[in-house]
Amino acid sequence: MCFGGNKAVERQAQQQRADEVARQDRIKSGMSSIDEAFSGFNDNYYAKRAQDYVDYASPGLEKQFGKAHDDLIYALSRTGNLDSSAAIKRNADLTDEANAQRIGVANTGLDQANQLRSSVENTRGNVVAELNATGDSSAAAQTALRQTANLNQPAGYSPLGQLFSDFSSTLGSIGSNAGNGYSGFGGSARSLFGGSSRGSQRVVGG
Amino acid sequence: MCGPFAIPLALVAAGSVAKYFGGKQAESASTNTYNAERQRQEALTGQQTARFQDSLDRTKEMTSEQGQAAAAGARENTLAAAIAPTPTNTSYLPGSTSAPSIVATAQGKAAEGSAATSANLAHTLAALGGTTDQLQKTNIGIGRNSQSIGQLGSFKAGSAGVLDAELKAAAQKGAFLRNVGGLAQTIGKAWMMGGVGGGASAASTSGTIGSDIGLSGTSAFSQVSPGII
Repeated sequence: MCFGGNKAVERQAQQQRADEVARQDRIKSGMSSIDEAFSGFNDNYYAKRAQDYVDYASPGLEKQFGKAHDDLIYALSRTGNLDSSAAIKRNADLTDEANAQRIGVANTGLDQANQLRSSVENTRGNVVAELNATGDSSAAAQTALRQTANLNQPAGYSPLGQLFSDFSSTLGSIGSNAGNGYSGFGGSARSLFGGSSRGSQRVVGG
Repeated sequence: MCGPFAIPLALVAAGSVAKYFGGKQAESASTNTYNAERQRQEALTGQQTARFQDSLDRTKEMTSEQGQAAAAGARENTLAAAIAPTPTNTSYLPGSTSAPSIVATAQGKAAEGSAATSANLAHTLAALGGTTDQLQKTNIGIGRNSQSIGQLGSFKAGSAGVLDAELKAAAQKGAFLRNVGGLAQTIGKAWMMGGVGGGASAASTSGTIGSDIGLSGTSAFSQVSPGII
């Protein structure tokens, strides 16, 4: 005991080193578990989530577009302008609007995917923080699995709303589009002399 | 040739040598322990530096034109795919198949214009969104690197926390030699003192024996001294 030094001190040091190595190994093992649990959240997953939103929103969009298209045809037909350049312009406007909405839906899908990506990353960060704090790899793995299951729950999406209301509201002006100063659809025309409706001369087409 | 002080002198000399080598053992063990920990710290620091460098590279990529163009291009591809194919010039209107050629031509131009407008919208929107995509991608990468750097930091702190105990243990190395050497020195000195000045001075020296061999006080001396004096 006396001549050989204090073996207890050496044993304590060895035990402390072993404990620290074990702690680091548990954290490394926990990180592997976390990576495995979150491995499904890859680029393909997020691309699919973006496409899911597009798939969800597109039918409603196309339905509204079809109705707006029908309304346009009816409005043009009522005024006998189906084969007119003005009709072409209105149809091009509708096509522009529809494409803008389609792009918007696709853009929202990507944004939804990005939002989900942020949520997943925050969750992953929380699990990693838990692992670092506890050094308990099995608990971290369980938490990771539980959290990823929650993240895979379907998200609620808001209805699309009236996408073509602005365009549709202008259809009523076909045949009576005094608002733009032209009478290309054979409706009421602006007065040649001032804003008064009095007088017999009118400008057609400007 | 061998006088009365030969044996005590030899004891003192041998004790000094034993203490020296005992001290060297402790010193060597401490140095090895320190170097081992230093290597562990350097390895972990190297991993931290690699992570930090990766964060810097990601930041550079984010601000580079190529990185931004790639991110915008990826989003633009998705947005452009959402645009419906350009309709044929008369397919959209029932009863318009017999439209005059001038109308059909105008329809064709309008369709081209719509396609260009939509493509431009997709391009500009992708440029805006692409920056966000790139920023998010970079943030996630940097965030994960930060997590790793923090984790490695905790490894370093934990490892360094063990060093103190390991150095104490290393200081115990060579204790046998040091203690035996110390005992031999003390006995040798006591012997010489006894030979020169008698038992009184030997007794005054003998009090240090206990501390040399790691025991305390007179009780230790009492265990050893009967054989010495």
